[in-house]
Amino acid sequence: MKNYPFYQVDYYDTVIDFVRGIGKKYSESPAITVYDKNGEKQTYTYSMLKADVAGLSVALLSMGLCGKHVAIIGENSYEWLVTFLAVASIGSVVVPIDIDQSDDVIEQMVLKSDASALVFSADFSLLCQELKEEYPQIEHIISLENDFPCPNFSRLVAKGTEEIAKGNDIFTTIQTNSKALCIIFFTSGTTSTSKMVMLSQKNILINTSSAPASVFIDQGEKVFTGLPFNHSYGLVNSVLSMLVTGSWLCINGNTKTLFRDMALFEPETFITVPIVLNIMNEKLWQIIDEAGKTKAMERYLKKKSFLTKLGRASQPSFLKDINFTLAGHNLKKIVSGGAFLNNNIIENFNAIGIQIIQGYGITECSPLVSVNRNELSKFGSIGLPVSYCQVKIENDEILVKGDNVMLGYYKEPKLTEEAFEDGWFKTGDMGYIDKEGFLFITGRIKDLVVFNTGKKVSPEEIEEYVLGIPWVKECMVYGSETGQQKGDTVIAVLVYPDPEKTEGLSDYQVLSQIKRDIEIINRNLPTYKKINQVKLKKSEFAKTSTHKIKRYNQ
Amino acid sequence: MLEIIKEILKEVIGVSYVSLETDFIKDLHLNSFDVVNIICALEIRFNIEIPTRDIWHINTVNDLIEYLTEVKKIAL
Repeated sequence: MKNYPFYQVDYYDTVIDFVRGIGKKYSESPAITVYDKNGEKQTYTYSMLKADVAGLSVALLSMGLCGKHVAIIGENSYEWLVTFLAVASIGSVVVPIDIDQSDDVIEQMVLKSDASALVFSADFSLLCQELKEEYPQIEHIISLENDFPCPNFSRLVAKGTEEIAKGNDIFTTIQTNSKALCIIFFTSGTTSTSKMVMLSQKNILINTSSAPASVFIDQGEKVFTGLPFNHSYGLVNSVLSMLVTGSWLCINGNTKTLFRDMALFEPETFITVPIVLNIMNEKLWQIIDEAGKTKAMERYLKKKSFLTKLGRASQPSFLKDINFTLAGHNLKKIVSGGAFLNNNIIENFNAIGIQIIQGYGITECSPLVSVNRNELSKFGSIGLPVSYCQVKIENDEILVKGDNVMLGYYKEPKLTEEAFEDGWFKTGDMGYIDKEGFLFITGRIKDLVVFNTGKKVSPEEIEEYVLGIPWVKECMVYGSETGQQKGDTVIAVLVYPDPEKTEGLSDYQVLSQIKRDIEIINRNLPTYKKINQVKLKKSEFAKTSTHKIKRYNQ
Repeated sequence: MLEIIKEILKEVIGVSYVSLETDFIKDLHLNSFDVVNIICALEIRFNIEIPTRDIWHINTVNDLIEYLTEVKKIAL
């Protein structure tokens, strides 16, 4: 089958036009649903969303935040989203902070991004108050919750709304520049190894509209996301791309309640990362096993993999009477990205009538580059390029060009220059395009460890910590598969101990001491970054001419 | 306390052979969802709230027991 025309989706040039446009077009339809800690549901319509963004925009303007950098530090919430839309609507710059980082790293992120205002959730109130006291450049702190002695979200929205009622028409008249900087995303890694990706309003809005132009999302369709908003995939494709179609989006900001909220909301579509699908896949097999159909399913999958080249959903009759309550009863479509998904999982879900659509993106491309389509997909492929961008392969590397490609890395002109070749962005991913135009990934040129949560870690960051151990002379950090499940990656380190400092000691003594030191490092690292395996190396690492460790030749 | 932790780990992740020194990451190879499931089970069992960020500082079963008894003041 040949590719077919893209679906029709509205495009807005600026974020304020986006907010005004969706608010007007879908007015009283439900836009966002959230469940609180106790499972109480709160739903906001498109009109309410627009009104709250307008109110907050007016209040932020009166605080003098026009053109300033505003960091948002908090888990996913409706308030987080309104803050993002309001800051971008007034032409200011949003800096979403990864809350899975330590306080020290968050502090560095705030400083490196030149944030002059911090918007925070309760867990970060103490940190933000301390930062404001310490750094004069941080002029404002704003709480997303109500009970803090500083300006808070509700009060600001109410104040701005009151201004609007009195005749302040700035939200209806303001114009912003679509090509100006809108958001700074931090890429994988932190401190010295992280990069700050600058995206314009146009970058993210082109991507917002192009994703549903490739993957059909209906007006009113119930969509669920638990992806963090501080990642481009979470914010742009799982939120903005859904709102532009008028769908009904349930957002979750807490892994603890992810599956509960999904069961309560009963989505038709779920946007996620491979690790969550691994868990759902286990549950799927458990249900099949309980129904006594394991053998039949295994036989079916064996047969099917020979016959089916298309990733289309089809359900064998012996599964039709089984009640698959993986996420309520309405789930028909899952979009997966962030890391590569095992083909077997796609087949298993197809068998029970759920289509998995896999895509590929990179923050520097706002992020979506290619995605499989509802009616046209291929196993093992990351799909066809989306509408606005061109993709080509050069020396096995995937290169991208188009309006989705970033403005550059913040304050890093040299890095920016190195990232491009004749106007094409070099993704650092290796791949090929088949004769039907489908894109395939074969590996990475850049040294990143990619987890099945979609999170990425730069080995250099972890190496920096390990090199701080007195007995370590050289080390190399890499991703190692646990062997428990395909794609389950953990951090491993190969250490060359300092021969002088460890003279006369046995390998066992050296390894034990280094492991103890690594335990101390692990105490300050988030779970996914913790060093899981330690091995000793007897000789120095092979080096390149620039004295860097040759990563793949050890 | 060790017995309770063993019971919870068996229920949540199906592992029962743990000691005070067992490391959640290095020995049990838990992923972030396993960790969250253990937190949820502990919250229900002790009727407490455990912020996800607190978990970073807990590597071993012993660390967890110290956290529950000293930070969360759970007396047994």
